[in-house]
Amino acid sequence: MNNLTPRLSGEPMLWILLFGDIALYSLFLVFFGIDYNAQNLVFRESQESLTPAFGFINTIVLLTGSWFVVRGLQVLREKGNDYAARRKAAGYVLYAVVCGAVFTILKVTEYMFKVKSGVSMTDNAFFVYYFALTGLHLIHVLIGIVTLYYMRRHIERAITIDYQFLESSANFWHLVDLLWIMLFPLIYLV
Amino acid sequence: MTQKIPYKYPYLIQSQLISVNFAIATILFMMIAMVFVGRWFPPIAPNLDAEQVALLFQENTNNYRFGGLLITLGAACFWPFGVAITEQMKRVEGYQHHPMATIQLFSLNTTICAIFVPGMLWMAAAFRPERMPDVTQALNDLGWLTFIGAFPPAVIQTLSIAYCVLNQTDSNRIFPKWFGYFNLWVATGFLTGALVPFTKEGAFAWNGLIAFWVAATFFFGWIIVSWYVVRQCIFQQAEALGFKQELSE
Repeated sequence: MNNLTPRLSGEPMLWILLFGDIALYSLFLVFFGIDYNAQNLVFRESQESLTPAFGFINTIVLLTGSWFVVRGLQVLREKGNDYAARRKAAGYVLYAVVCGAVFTILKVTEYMFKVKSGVSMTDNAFFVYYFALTGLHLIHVLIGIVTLYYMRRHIERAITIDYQFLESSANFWHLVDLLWIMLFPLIYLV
Repeated sequence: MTQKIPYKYPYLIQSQLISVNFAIATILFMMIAMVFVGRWFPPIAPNLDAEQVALLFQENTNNYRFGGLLITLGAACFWPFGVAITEQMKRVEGYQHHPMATIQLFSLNTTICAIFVPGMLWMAAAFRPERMPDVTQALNDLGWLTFIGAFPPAVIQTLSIAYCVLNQTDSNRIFPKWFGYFNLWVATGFLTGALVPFTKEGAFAWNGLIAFWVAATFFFGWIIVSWYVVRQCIFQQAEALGFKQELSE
Protein backbone atom coordinates (compact mmCIF):
# COMPACT_ATOMS: atom_id res chain seq x y z
CA MET A 1 0.00 0.00 0.00
CA ASN A 2 1.30 3.42 -0.91
CA ASN A 3 1.27 5.37 2.30
CA LEU A 4 2.29 8.62 0.68
CA THR A 5 -0.96 9.40 -1.09
CA PRO A 6 -3.20 11.41 1.19
CA ARG A 7 -6.32 9.50 2.13
CA LEU A 8 -8.99 9.40 4.78
CA SER A 9 -8.54 6.72 7.37
CA GLY A 10 -10.96 3.83 7.03
CA GLU A 11 -14.02 3.93 4.84
CA PRO A 12 -14.21 7.54 3.55
CA MET A 13 -18.01 7.68 3.68
CA LEU A 14 -17.99 6.72 7.36
CA TRP A 15 -16.82 10.28 7.99
CA ILE A 16 -20.37 11.42 7.20
CA LEU A 17 -21.43 9.64 10.38
CA LEU A 18 -18.37 10.73 12.36
CA PHE A 19 -18.51 14.42 11.42
CA GLY A 20 -22.29 14.32 11.57
CA ASP A 21 -22.22 13.10 15.17
CA ILE A 22 -19.56 15.61 16.14
CA ALA A 23 -21.68 18.39 14.61
CA LEU A 24 -24.81 17.13 16.39
CA TYR A 25 -23.11 16.99 19.79
CA SER A 26 -21.56 20.41 19.23
CA LEU A 27 -25.07 21.70 18.61
CA PHE A 28 -26.33 20.03 21.81
CA LEU A 29 -23.52 21.67 23.76
CA VAL A 30 -24.32 25.06 22.24
CA PHE A 31 -27.91 24.66 23.47
CA PHE A 32 -26.51 23.56 26.83
CA GLY A 33 -24.42 26.73 26.92
CA ILE A 34 -27.40 28.91 26.09
CA ASP A 35 -29.45 27.36 28.89
CA TYR A 36 -26.47 27.56 31.23
CA ASN A 37 -26.36 31.31 30.74
CA ALA A 38 -30.11 31.66 31.07
CA GLN A 39 -30.32 29.71 34.35
CA ASN A 40 -26.84 30.31 35.64
CA LEU A 41 -27.52 29.67 39.33
CA VAL A 42 -29.47 26.42 38.87
CA PHE A 43 -26.87 25.03 36.48
CA ARG A 44 -23.96 26.01 38.68
CA GLU A 45 -25.46 24.48 41.81
CA SER A 46 -26.47 21.28 40.04
CA GLN A 47 -23.10 21.00 38.40
CA GLU A 48 -21.37 21.26 41.76
CA SER A 49 -23.41 18.32 43.04
CA LEU A 50 -21.84 16.03 40.41
CA THR A 51 -18.79 13.94 41.17
CA PRO A 52 -16.14 14.94 38.63
CA ALA A 53 -13.98 12.03 39.77
CA PHE A 54 -16.32 9.62 37.96
CA GLY A 55 -16.07 11.65 34.79
CA PHE A 56 -12.32 12.02 35.12
CA ILE A 57 -11.70 8.31 35.64
CA ASN A 58 -13.97 7.56 32.71
CA THR A 59 -11.99 9.94 30.52
CA ILE A 60 -8.82 8.04 31.38
CA VAL A 61 -10.57 4.72 30.79
CA LEU A 62 -11.76 5.75 27.32
CA LEU A 63 -8.41 7.24 26.34
CA THR A 64 -6.73 4.00 27.40
CA GLY A 65 -9.26 2.08 25.31
CA SER A 66 -8.45 4.19 22.28
CA TRP A 67 -4.75 3.61 22.86
CA PHE A 68 -5.29 -0.18 22.97
CA VAL A 69 -7.10 -0.07 19.64
CA VAL A 70 -4.29 1.96 18.08
CA ARG A 71 -1.72 -0.49 19.46
CA GLY A 72 -3.69 -3.42 18.06
CA LEU A 73 -3.69 -1.95 14.55
CA GLN A 74 0.00 -1.07 14.85
CA VAL A 75 0.91 -4.63 15.77
CA LEU A 76 -1.04 -5.94 12.78
CA ARG A 77 0.59 -3.50 10.40
CA GLU A 78 4.13 -4.09 11.64
CA LYS A 79 4.09 -7.83 12.08
CA GLY A 80 1.66 -8.66 9.32
CA ASN A 81 -0.53 -11.65 9.19
CA ASP A 82 1.16 -14.27 11.29
CA TYR A 83 -0.64 -16.07 14.05
CA ALA A 84 1.24 -14.50 16.95
CA ALA A 85 0.68 -10.95 15.70
CA ARG A 86 -3.00 -11.62 15.27
CA ARG A 87 -3.27 -13.08 18.76
CA LYS A 88 -1.57 -10.01 20.15
CA ALA A 89 -3.72 -7.58 18.19
CA ALA A 90 -6.90 -9.41 19.18
CA GLY A 91 -5.70 -9.15 22.78
CA TYR A 92 -5.36 -5.39 22.51
CA VAL A 93 -8.87 -5.10 21.10
CA LEU A 94 -10.14 -7.21 23.98
CA TYR A 95 -8.52 -4.77 26.44
CA ALA A 96 -10.37 -1.98 24.65
CA VAL A 97 -13.63 -3.91 25.14
CA VAL A 98 -12.78 -4.18 28.85
CA CYS A 99 -12.27 -0.39 28.91
CA GLY A 100 -15.68 0.07 27.35
CA ALA A 101 -17.24 -2.26 29.92
CA VAL A 102 -15.53 -0.45 32.80
CA PHE A 103 -16.82 2.85 31.43
CA THR A 104 -20.35 1.47 31.27
CA ILE A 105 -20.21 0.05 34.79
CA LEU A 106 -18.84 3.31 36.21
CA LYS A 107 -21.47 5.32 34.37
CA VAL A 108 -24.33 3.14 35.61
CA THR A 109 -22.90 3.28 39.14
CA GLU A 110 -22.76 7.05 38.89
CA TYR A 111 -26.39 7.17 37.72
CA MET A 112 -27.39 4.92 40.63
CA PHE A 113 -25.59 7.13 43.14
CA LYS A 114 -27.30 10.17 41.68
CA VAL A 115 -30.73 8.58 41.83
CA LYS A 116 -30.07 7.28 45.38
CA SER A 117 -29.16 10.79 46.51
CA GLY A 118 -32.62 11.90 45.47
CA VAL A 119 -31.74 13.52 42.16
CA SER A 120 -33.91 12.70 39.19
CA MET A 121 -33.81 13.66 35.57
CA THR A 122 -36.83 15.89 35.87
CA ASP A 123 -35.48 18.00 38.76
CA ASN A 124 -34.25 20.85 36.59
CA ALA A 125 -32.94 21.70 33.15
CA PHE A 126 -29.37 20.82 34.07
CA PHE A 127 -30.18 17.26 35.02
CA VAL A 128 -32.17 16.74 31.84
CA TYR A 129 -29.02 17.64 29.90
CA TYR A 130 -26.82 15.61 32.22
CA PHE A 131 -28.83 12.40 31.88
CA ALA A 132 -29.78 12.90 28.24
CA LEU A 133 -26.36 13.76 26.83
CA THR A 134 -24.40 11.22 28.88
CA GLY A 135 -27.13 8.65 28.18
CA LEU A 136 -26.96 9.21 24.42
CA HIS A 137 -23.20 8.94 24.68
CA LEU A 138 -23.55 5.69 26.63
CA ILE A 139 -25.55 4.28 23.70
CA HIS A 140 -22.57 5.16 21.51
CA VAL A 141 -20.27 3.32 23.91
CA LEU A 142 -22.46 0.20 23.76
CA ILE A 143 -22.55 0.29 19.95
CA GLY A 144 -18.77 0.81 20.02
CA ILE A 145 -18.33 -2.29 22.17
CA VAL A 146 -20.30 -4.35 19.65
CA THR A 147 -18.13 -2.93 16.85
CA LEU A 148 -15.00 -3.85 18.81
CA TYR A 149 -16.31 -7.38 19.22
CA TYR A 150 -16.66 -7.74 15.45
CA MET A 151 -13.24 -6.20 15.02
CA ARG A 152 -11.71 -8.79 17.30
CA ARG A 153 -13.53 -11.59 15.53
CA HIS A 154 -12.26 -10.31 12.19
CA ILE A 155 -8.68 -10.18 13.44
CA GLU A 156 -8.93 -13.70 14.81
CA ARG A 157 -10.72 -15.39 11.96
CA ALA A 158 -10.53 -13.49 8.66
CA ILE A 159 -8.41 -15.08 5.96
CA THR A 160 -7.14 -11.74 4.68
CA ILE A 161 -7.25 -8.75 6.97
CA ASP A 162 -9.53 -5.95 5.76
CA TYR A 163 -7.69 -2.89 7.03
CA GLN A 164 -10.39 -0.55 5.88
CA PHE A 165 -12.94 -2.32 8.07
CA LEU A 166 -10.59 -2.33 11.05
CA GLU A 167 -9.72 1.34 10.61
CA SER A 168 -13.38 2.26 10.28
CA SER A 169 -14.28 0.42 13.49
CA ALA A 170 -11.32 1.98 15.25
CA ASN A 171 -12.43 5.41 14.03
CA PHE A 172 -15.87 4.86 15.52
CA TRP A 173 -14.28 3.95 18.82
CA HIS A 174 -12.20 7.14 18.67
CA LEU A 175 -15.42 9.07 17.97
CA VAL A 176 -16.92 7.67 21.19
CA ASP A 177 -13.81 8.87 22.96
CA LEU A 178 -13.89 12.28 21.33
CA LEU A 179 -17.56 12.86 22.15
CA TRP A 180 -16.84 12.09 25.78
CA ILE A 181 -13.94 14.54 25.78
CA MET A 182 -16.35 17.16 24.47
CA LEU A 183 -19.03 16.34 27.07
CA PHE A 184 -16.92 15.82 30.17
CA PRO A 185 -15.43 19.29 30.75
CA LEU A 186 -18.61 21.14 29.81
CA ILE A 187 -21.00 19.07 31.88
CA TYR A 188 -18.82 18.27 34.89
CA LEU A 189 -16.38 21.15 35.18
CA VAL A 190 -16.60 24.49 33.34
CA MET B 1 -29.37 4.07 -37.29
CA THR B 2 -30.75 6.33 -34.61
CA GLN B 3 -32.70 4.59 -31.97
CA LYS B 4 -36.09 6.06 -31.28
CA ILE B 5 -36.18 7.34 -27.73
CA PRO B 6 -39.39 6.34 -25.99
CA TYR B 7 -41.17 9.42 -24.73
CA LYS B 8 -42.77 7.55 -21.91
CA TYR B 9 -41.26 5.33 -19.24
CA PRO B 10 -42.62 1.81 -18.92
CA TYR B 11 -45.12 1.05 -16.17
CA LEU B 12 -42.42 -0.33 -13.86
CA ILE B 13 -40.50 2.96 -13.83
CA GLN B 14 -43.47 5.28 -14.06
CA SER B 15 -45.23 3.71 -11.08
CA GLN B 16 -42.09 3.87 -8.97
CA LEU B 17 -41.54 7.53 -9.86
CA ILE B 18 -45.09 8.36 -8.86
CA SER B 19 -44.61 6.50 -5.56
CA VAL B 20 -41.36 8.22 -4.69
CA ASN B 21 -42.73 11.67 -5.51
CA PHE B 22 -45.39 11.20 -2.85
CA ALA B 23 -42.59 12.22 -0.44
CA ILE B 24 -43.05 15.78 -1.67
CA ALA B 25 -46.77 15.55 -1.00
CA THR B 26 -46.02 14.38 2.55
CA ILE B 27 -43.76 17.35 3.17
CA LEU B 28 -46.21 19.82 1.65
CA PHE B 29 -49.23 18.53 3.59
CA MET B 30 -47.33 18.41 6.87
CA MET B 31 -45.70 21.81 6.37
CA ILE B 32 -48.98 23.48 5.43
CA ALA B 33 -50.69 21.84 8.40
CA MET B 34 -47.97 22.72 10.88
CA VAL B 35 -47.02 26.20 9.70
CA PHE B 36 -50.14 27.79 8.25
CA VAL B 37 -53.28 25.93 9.26
CA GLY B 38 -52.70 24.47 12.71
CA ARG B 39 -49.91 26.95 13.48
CA TRP B 40 -48.12 24.24 15.43
CA PHE B 41 -44.68 25.47 14.43
CA PRO B 42 -43.43 25.62 17.15
CA PRO B 43 -45.80 23.16 18.88
CA ILE B 44 -48.32 23.91 21.61
CA ALA B 45 -46.11 24.29 24.68
CA PRO B 46 -46.15 21.24 26.98
CA ASN B 47 -46.05 23.38 30.12
CA LEU B 48 -49.45 25.03 29.52
CA ASP B 49 -52.16 24.07 32.02
CA ALA B 50 -55.43 22.42 31.02
CA GLU B 51 -57.39 25.68 30.80
CA GLN B 52 -54.83 27.30 28.52
CA VAL B 53 -54.77 24.27 26.22
CA ALA B 54 -58.58 24.13 26.16
CA LEU B 55 -58.69 27.85 25.35
CA LEU B 56 -56.34 27.33 22.40
CA PHE B 57 -58.59 24.60 21.07
CA GLN B 58 -61.67 26.77 21.57
CA GLU B 59 -60.14 29.72 19.76
CA ASN B 60 -58.63 27.76 16.85
CA THR B 61 -61.21 25.01 16.59
CA ASN B 62 -61.51 24.81 12.83
CA ASN B 63 -57.82 25.51 12.24
CA TYR B 64 -56.94 22.58 14.45
CA ARG B 65 -59.53 20.31 12.85
CA PHE B 66 -58.28 21.14 9.37
CA GLY B 67 -54.63 20.95 10.51
CA GLY B 68 -55.27 17.46 11.88
CA LEU B 69 -56.90 16.45 8.64
CA LEU B 70 -53.90 17.65 6.61
CA ILE B 71 -51.53 15.78 8.92
CA THR B 72 -53.41 12.54 8.29
CA LEU B 73 -53.26 13.21 4.53
CA GLY B 74 -49.53 13.82 4.76
CA ALA B 75 -49.14 10.59 6.73
CA ALA B 76 -51.05 8.64 4.09
CA CYS B 77 -48.76 9.99 1.36
CA PHE B 78 -45.82 8.50 3.24
CA TRP B 79 -46.90 4.96 2.31
CA PRO B 80 -46.19 5.14 -1.43
CA PHE B 81 -42.83 6.75 -0.67
CA GLY B 82 -41.96 3.91 1.69
CA VAL B 83 -42.87 1.36 -0.96
CA ALA B 84 -40.59 3.13 -3.45
CA ILE B 85 -37.67 2.78 -1.01
CA THR B 86 -38.48 -0.88 -0.44
CA GLU B 87 -38.74 -1.61 -4.18
CA GLN B 88 -35.24 -0.25 -4.71
CA MET B 89 -33.93 -2.16 -1.67
CA LYS B 90 -35.31 -5.34 -3.25
CA ARG B 91 -33.07 -4.69 -6.26
CA VAL B 92 -30.16 -5.01 -3.84
CA GLU B 93 -31.46 -7.91 -1.79
CA GLY B 94 -33.18 -9.95 -4.48
CA TYR B 95 -36.85 -10.59 -5.01
CA GLN B 96 -37.24 -13.79 -3.05
CA HIS B 97 -35.64 -12.98 0.28
CA HIS B 98 -35.52 -9.34 1.19
CA PRO B 99 -35.63 -9.05 4.99
CA MET B 100 -34.31 -5.48 5.20
CA ALA B 101 -36.74 -4.24 2.56
CA THR B 102 -39.58 -5.82 4.54
CA ILE B 103 -38.33 -4.45 7.86
CA GLN B 104 -38.12 -1.02 6.26
CA LEU B 105 -41.72 -1.21 5.10
CA PHE B 106 -43.09 -2.57 8.37
CA SER B 107 -41.32 -0.08 10.60
CA LEU B 108 -42.31 2.69 8.20
CA ASN B 109 -45.93 1.65 8.78
CA THR B 110 -45.50 2.42 12.45
CA THR B 111 -43.65 5.65 11.74
CA ILE B 112 -46.70 6.64 9.71
CA CYS B 113 -48.97 5.75 12.62
CA ALA B 114 -46.92 8.17 14.72
CA ILE B 115 -47.99 10.88 12.26
CA PHE B 116 -51.47 9.65 11.40
CA VAL B 117 -52.68 9.01 14.95
CA PRO B 118 -51.69 12.47 16.29
CA GLY B 119 -53.61 14.04 13.40
CA MET B 120 -56.69 12.08 14.46
CA LEU B 121 -56.13 12.94 18.13
CA TRP B 122 -55.92 16.67 17.43
CA MET B 123 -59.07 16.41 15.36
CA ALA B 124 -60.73 14.61 18.27
CA ALA B 125 -59.50 17.25 20.70
CA ALA B 126 -60.89 20.00 18.49
CA PHE B 127 -64.14 18.10 17.90
CA ARG B 128 -65.77 19.17 21.20
CA PRO B 129 -63.62 22.08 22.41
CA GLU B 130 -66.21 23.06 25.05
CA ARG B 131 -65.73 19.83 27.03
CA MET B 132 -63.80 19.54 30.32
CA PRO B 133 -60.34 21.13 29.81
CA ASP B 134 -58.57 18.11 31.32
CA VAL B 135 -59.83 15.86 28.56
CA THR B 136 -58.72 18.25 25.83
CA GLN B 137 -55.32 18.48 27.48
CA ALA B 138 -55.01 14.70 27.68
CA LEU B 139 -55.85 14.33 23.98
CA ASN B 140 -53.41 17.09 23.10
CA ASP B 141 -50.68 15.45 25.22
CA LEU B 142 -51.33 12.10 23.65
CA GLY B 143 -51.03 13.65 20.20
CA TRP B 144 -47.73 15.41 20.82
CA LEU B 145 -46.16 12.57 22.79
CA THR B 146 -46.90 10.24 19.89
CA PHE B 147 -45.87 12.77 17.23
CA ILE B 148 -42.44 13.54 18.72
CA GLY B 149 -41.86 10.64 21.09
CA ALA B 150 -42.69 7.63 18.91
CA PHE B 151 -39.20 7.50 17.42
CA PRO B 152 -38.17 3.80 17.83
CA PRO B 153 -39.76 2.53 14.59
CA ALA B 154 -38.01 5.31 12.65
CA VAL B 155 -34.69 4.19 14.16
CA ILE B 156 -35.27 0.59 13.08
CA GLN B 157 -36.33 1.85 9.66
CA THR B 158 -33.19 3.90 9.06
CA LEU B 159 -31.00 1.11 10.46
CA SER B 160 -32.54 -1.43 8.08
CA ILE B 161 -31.86 0.89 5.13
CA ALA B 162 -28.30 1.44 6.36
CA TYR B 163 -27.68 -2.31 6.70
CA CYS B 164 -28.95 -2.94 3.19
CA VAL B 165 -26.96 -0.09 1.65
CA LEU B 166 -23.71 -0.89 3.45
CA ASN B 167 -23.84 -4.56 2.50
CA GLN B 168 -24.15 -4.00 -1.24
CA THR B 169 -21.55 -5.82 -3.30
CA ASP B 170 -19.78 -4.13 -6.17
CA SER B 171 -21.70 -6.24 -8.64
CA ASN B 172 -25.00 -5.17 -7.16
CA ARG B 173 -24.55 -1.55 -6.20
CA ILE B 174 -27.81 0.38 -6.35
CA PHE B 175 -27.57 3.00 -3.60
CA PRO B 176 -24.56 5.29 -3.11
CA LYS B 177 -22.47 4.22 -0.14
CA TRP B 178 -22.79 7.54 1.69
CA PHE B 179 -26.54 6.99 1.89
CA GLY B 180 -25.94 4.10 4.30
CA TYR B 181 -23.82 6.15 6.67
CA PHE B 182 -26.25 9.04 6.33
CA ASN B 183 -29.02 6.74 7.55
CA LEU B 184 -26.91 5.65 10.52
CA TRP B 185 -26.40 9.29 11.42
CA VAL B 186 -30.11 10.03 11.09
CA ALA B 187 -30.82 7.08 13.37
CA THR B 188 -28.71 8.68 16.10
CA GLY B 189 -30.46 11.99 15.44
CA PHE B 190 -33.90 10.42 15.90
CA LEU B 191 -32.92 9.35 19.43
CA THR B 192 -33.31 12.95 20.53
CA GLY B 193 -37.07 12.49 20.70
CA ALA B 194 -36.64 9.95 23.50
CA LEU B 195 -36.98 12.40 26.35
CA VAL B 196 -40.31 14.07 25.65
CA PRO B 197 -42.21 12.18 28.37
CA PHE B 198 -39.77 13.37 31.02
CA THR B 199 -39.67 17.08 30.62
CA LYS B 200 -42.12 19.91 29.99
CA GLU B 201 -39.66 22.69 29.26
CA GLY B 202 -36.19 23.18 27.90
CA ALA B 203 -34.38 21.74 24.93
CA PHE B 204 -35.65 18.17 25.34
CA ALA B 205 -39.33 19.04 25.73
CA TRP B 206 -41.57 18.38 22.72
CA ASN B 207 -41.31 22.01 21.64
CA GLY B 208 -37.63 22.27 22.55
CA LEU B 209 -34.60 23.06 20.44
CA ILE B 210 -33.42 19.47 20.43
CA ALA B 211 -36.53 17.28 20.61
CA PHE B 212 -38.48 19.41 18.14
CA TRP B 213 -36.21 21.54 15.97
CA VAL B 214 -33.31 19.14 15.60
CA ALA B 215 -35.61 16.12 15.23
CA ALA B 216 -37.84 17.93 12.71
CA THR B 217 -34.78 18.93 10.68
CA PHE B 218 -33.60 15.34 10.71
CA PHE B 219 -37.01 14.02 9.73
CA PHE B 220 -37.68 16.38 6.84
CA GLY B 221 -34.03 16.33 5.80
CA TRP B 222 -34.15 12.54 5.73
CA ILE B 223 -37.27 12.58 3.54
CA ILE B 224 -35.73 15.01 1.04
CA VAL B 225 -32.38 13.20 0.84
CA SER B 226 -34.04 9.78 0.55
CA TRP B 227 -36.44 11.10 -2.08
CA TYR B 228 -33.50 12.35 -4.15
CA VAL B 229 -31.45 9.17 -3.75
CA VAL B 230 -34.31 6.78 -4.50
CA ARG B 231 -35.29 8.86 -7.54
CA GLN B 232 -31.73 8.58 -8.86
CA CYS B 233 -31.89 4.82 -8.29
CA ILE B 234 -35.10 4.61 -10.32
CA PHE B 235 -33.58 6.65 -13.17
CA GLN B 236 -30.58 4.35 -13.08
CA GLN B 237 -32.91 1.35 -13.27
CA ALA B 238 -34.66 2.92 -16.26
CA GLU B 239 -31.33 3.44 -17.93
CA ALA B 240 -30.35 -0.15 -17.28
CA LEU B 241 -33.57 -1.19 -18.98
CA GLY B 242 -32.65 0.93 -21.99
CA PHE B 243 -34.67 4.04 -21.33
CA LYS B 244 -32.64 7.20 -21.32
CA GLN B 245 -33.86 10.11 -19.29
CA GLU B 246 -34.78 12.80 -21.78
CA LEU B 247 -35.33 16.30 -20.57
CA SER B 248 -36.67 17.66 -23.84
CA GLU B 249 -39.55 15.82 -25.44
